[in-house]
Amino acid sequence: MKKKGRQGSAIVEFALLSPFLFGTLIGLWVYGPQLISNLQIVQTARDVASMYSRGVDFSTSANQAMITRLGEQLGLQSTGGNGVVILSTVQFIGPLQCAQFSSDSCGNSGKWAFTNRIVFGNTSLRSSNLGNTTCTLNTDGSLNLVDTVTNGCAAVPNTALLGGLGTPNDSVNGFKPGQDAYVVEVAANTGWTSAVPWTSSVGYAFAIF
Amino acid sequence: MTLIASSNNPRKGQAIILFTLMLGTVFVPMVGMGIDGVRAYLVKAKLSTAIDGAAIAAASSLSSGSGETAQAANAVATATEVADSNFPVGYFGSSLQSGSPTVCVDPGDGSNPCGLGTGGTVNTYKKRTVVITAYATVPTLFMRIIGYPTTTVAATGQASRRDVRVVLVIDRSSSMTSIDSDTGNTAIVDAVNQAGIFVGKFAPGRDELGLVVMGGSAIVAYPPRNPANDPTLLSSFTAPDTNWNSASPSLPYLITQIKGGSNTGTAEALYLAYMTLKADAATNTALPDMLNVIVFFTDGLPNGITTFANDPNGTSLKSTSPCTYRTSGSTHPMKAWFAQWNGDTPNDSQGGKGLFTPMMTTQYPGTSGNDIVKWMQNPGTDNNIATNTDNCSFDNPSSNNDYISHDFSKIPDQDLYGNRTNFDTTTTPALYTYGTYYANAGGIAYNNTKINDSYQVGLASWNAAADQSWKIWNNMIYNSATRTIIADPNPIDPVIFTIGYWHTSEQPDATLMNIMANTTASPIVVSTKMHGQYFQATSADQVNQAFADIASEILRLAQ
Repeated sequence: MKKKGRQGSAIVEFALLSPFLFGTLIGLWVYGPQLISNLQIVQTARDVASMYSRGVDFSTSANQAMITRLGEQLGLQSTGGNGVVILSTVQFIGPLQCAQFSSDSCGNSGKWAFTNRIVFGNTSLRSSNLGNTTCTLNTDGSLNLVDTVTNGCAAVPNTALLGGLGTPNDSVNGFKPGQDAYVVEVAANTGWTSAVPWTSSVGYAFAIF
Repeated sequence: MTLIASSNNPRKGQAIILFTLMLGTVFVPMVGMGIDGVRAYLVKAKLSTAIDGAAIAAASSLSSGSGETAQAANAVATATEVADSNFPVGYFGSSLQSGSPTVCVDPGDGSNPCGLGTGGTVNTYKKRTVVITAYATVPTLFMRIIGYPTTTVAATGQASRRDVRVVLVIDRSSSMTSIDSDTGNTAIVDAVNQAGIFVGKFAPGRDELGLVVMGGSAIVAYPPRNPANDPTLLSSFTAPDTNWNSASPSLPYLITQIKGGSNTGTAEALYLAYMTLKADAATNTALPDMLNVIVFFTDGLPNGITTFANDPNGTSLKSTSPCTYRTSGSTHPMKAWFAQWNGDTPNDSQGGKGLFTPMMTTQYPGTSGNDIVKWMQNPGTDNNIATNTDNCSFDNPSSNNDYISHDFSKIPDQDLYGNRTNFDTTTTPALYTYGTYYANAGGIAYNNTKINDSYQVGLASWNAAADQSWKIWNNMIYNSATRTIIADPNPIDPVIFTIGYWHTSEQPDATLMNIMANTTASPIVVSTKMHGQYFQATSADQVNQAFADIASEILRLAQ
């Protein structure tokens, strides 16, 4: 009887402790991979931004392949896949930029405008926090400068991401009108994406260089 | 039995006690290290991103500001803004220590304010480096239970900006006076605007800029040239300096004064730009540490050259010419330019017109002292080198006798600067055969005795420009004392960007532009040398774009 009683208490104790144990284990199992994936996303954004700001042309498949290898564990691919890379070069249009096209109406004066946009990977996974340009892009993703300066299609729809740069001003120290800001956004499915979809979410990171 | 007998159920609740003990001593620390560690890594990665971005943007910002101090202040402000943009307030509950990163700008003068070190392998000369350090405090979730409520992560980043030396060449030939359909301005007005914006992207006090303006004759507008100096000698040239924005007249002001007119002396302009770029190559030990650039803007084909027609070592004049300059090359050197005047039609019985005084060696008529503003404003002052009393046919333009065919026996073998009018290499045919002139004429070969043939003048001008490019990319230089082309004792490795503006029926030659820039599309590319870039523009807007792209490329290469 004594033995039987001890057996019962062990089960009760286990029952009492198991929520802590299993809760913690499940938490680790669910969020651990997500945290690691998010870390990879942040690192990928940083690496891509570093290259993008130094002039690497990511409109070419060879350079895209470099990134897909870098983000292999995230499932990044040039087309489709588990992630998307959104590259944008933007600049604030000030008086000097407008002066370049003095005969045109300077439609983007006092606004942030795109000068380049390249997207590759699973483009339906997530859209850019900056929004999109409806201007015609050249093959290297660049916009014609005249569009950037004068055409409303180049204006950045949502500038919240650039808020830290303030309102660039030629006579105030800091980021200047006409200076290129290289914005890289990376999003990817995180967690156990295929095996246990409910543990998955879309991770996102950006880098401004 | 002893165990059972002695127990009286004493192990009831032991698992909970043990678990509680384990929770505090093993479980929480382990889980805490895992979870909090990854969170800290995430914050560190984000902070590193912010600092890297801030460093690169700050190095780019070193171009803005009236002087070195202002540029450094601008870089510091930019670094803080970009770091803030990248590192959201409260990212995983973290915060930047001191509220912002520490930004230090090393001016590259050996003072070493940022602790980068000097000497040895640390070469900071002619290079400014932005060093940024930041610390972030990250609150912990689990580790706080055992007395570690926060952890600190750090990130350091640095980016450099090399000083650049740029010589800008602007074509002001008469075709630049036509109207740009997309702006309604003349092409030269648009080019002047665009060039002004272009030079505004460089850093006064650090970057060194020069300016060459090209018509049938080209001139070094900045730094000031001395008309008494012989432009065939490297020692006559002054290297670009850092005072271009504050000098009087300043380089930006000179650009605003350029008016259109005259012909296209491409070879001379490229020669002058290159000599200016390397003027102090023998003594300036900093030159290899700088980025040396020529930006060449033109809207047409070369159609003229500057020559030494009565060179005692090889005259190009007819023995029957009545021109009194003919026999006195040493006292009356006919160092002057001629050019096509009415297109490049083969066998047109016209040929080159001249001879006109080069701007480099001529004081602007009626002036003394610095005459450069006048030369910018008046492209049409192409004074004939001879007067009516010299019996030279070319001395009387109004009578249409000023074709060189009246006095010349041949197109000179080389221009004043040793650029050959018919040159092939051991591995290539004559350079002119790559050109538009040659192709358009169906491959008529060069014949220097057809002195009354505008097409032949075109070939000679084209070949001279290509030969100057060949010399640059093969480290050769003209020794005017011995009239030989020698290995350059102090070669520099420039980067050349060319812009060809296609806006009239006479279009720049893409092949020549590629040869000049040593792009991979050049038929005589030198693979060991820096490849520049050729930009082909068909509208003023595209010229704008080209200038903007080149500025970005130069500043990117400078990092």
